[in-house]
Amino acid sequence: MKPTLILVGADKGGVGKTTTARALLDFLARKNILARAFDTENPRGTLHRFYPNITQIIDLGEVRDQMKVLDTLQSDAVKVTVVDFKAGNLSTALNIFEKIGVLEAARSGDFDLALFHVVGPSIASLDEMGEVAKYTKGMDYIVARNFINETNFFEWDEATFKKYFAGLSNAREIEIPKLNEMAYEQVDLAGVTFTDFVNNKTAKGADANFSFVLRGYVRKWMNDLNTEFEKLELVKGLLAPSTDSASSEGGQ
Amino acid sequence: MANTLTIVCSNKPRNGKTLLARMIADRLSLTGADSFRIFDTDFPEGGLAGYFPESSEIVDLAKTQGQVRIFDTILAETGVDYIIDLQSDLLDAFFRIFSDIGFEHAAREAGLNLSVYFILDRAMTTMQSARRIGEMLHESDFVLVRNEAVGNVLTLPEAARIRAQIKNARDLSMPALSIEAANFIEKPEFTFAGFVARNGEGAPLEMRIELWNFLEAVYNQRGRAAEGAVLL
Repeated sequence: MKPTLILVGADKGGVGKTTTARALLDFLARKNILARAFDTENPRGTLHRFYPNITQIIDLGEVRDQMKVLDTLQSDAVKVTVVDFKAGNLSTALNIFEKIGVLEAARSGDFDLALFHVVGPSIASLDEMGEVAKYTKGMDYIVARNFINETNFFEWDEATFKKYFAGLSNAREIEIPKLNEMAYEQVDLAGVTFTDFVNNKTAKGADANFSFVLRGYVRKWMNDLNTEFEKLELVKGLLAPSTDSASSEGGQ
Repeated sequence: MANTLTIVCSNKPRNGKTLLARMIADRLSLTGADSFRIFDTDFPEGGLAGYFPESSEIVDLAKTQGQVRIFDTILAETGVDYIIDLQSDLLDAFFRIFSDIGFEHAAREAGLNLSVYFILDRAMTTMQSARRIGEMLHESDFVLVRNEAVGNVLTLPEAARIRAQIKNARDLSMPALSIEAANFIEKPEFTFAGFVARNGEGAPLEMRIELWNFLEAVYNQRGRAAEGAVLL
């Protein structure tokens, strides 16, 4: 299987970036796809809190840490790597990756590269899509519209979004659906994965006592997310049983 | 015997929901249920709760805390019968959550027999609403209640056609009461259980007969449906 590097980022904080990364890792685990993760939110590491066993905290500005991610892509037994970019760091991080040749290596087929760009409904967030577009050639560029914390879906102005989205030639779009706030808080408080919460398990695997209603909300949300993720060529490739056909869509 | 969860609902207010819920609660008392609990979702005033203050809790279902209070309690505290009096403007939201979180199945697994009483009125929207709710129920006794005091939608051919499509429902008819009788039973101190236990004492003879007939009509229909099935 060809290595796959999945970047999750947003230029603006508070748009649900780490939640998207968590949801993605959860999804991969449910589908029995082994993944490792890097959390660039140095030194705290929210992602690390939920996935301590598979997550390393790194500083992308450090060459040593860049090596931890990139030099091990081919050699590591785990072929899927998820990197959660620190909030407000997306363009900078992509710029670093461009400079050190990561994007070029992906374009020449050394590994598959995908970017989940998490956007909120603000114009600032939409403007980022234009800025990021110059880096996205040859990668799966996925715009993840985040509804997770939205109390009002209508904050998204469809016409405006479509206008921005239409300017991106190779973008795919998914929606991260809204999750009931109390359910979200409880998962957060419990410090468990979404899957563990639904299964009423603590982080250590013991029986927990989470609310049936809140577990139900999370279960429904995960099912909706499954549908969103499964729309993506990237994910279809990862789920495909064949080992060589995991390259990105549309190739000759 | 398995415990029951009865949900009384309608798509519009003032269709007789609270009256039917009272009759169901009183029926539980009459059949010797040790205890029952009522969740009244008419927040904050409460309607049904006024008649059963000791067994009732008024819950704000629009809040997640309220949903947790109702659904989690029912699953966790078993061995009790439950009645939910569902405010009409929460009908769709309630059943969406009910369906999304997989409550029906979990309640069955917890050993509860579920009944959903949906009171129809005279407008077509009531049938469409009933059909929508029916589609979300798979393991419940679904009862379409025709309240003669509010009219009969089933006289409309289109409504009768939709009724025929709702395969998982049975019907129950509630006779209309005279204004005097309706006023009499509205009194907060009146209970059907007390009325039956005291043999109708305290009511004028004519009203006593009317109320007996009314109770018999409703309870007998319920009783027939209950044989070997889901009810009391």
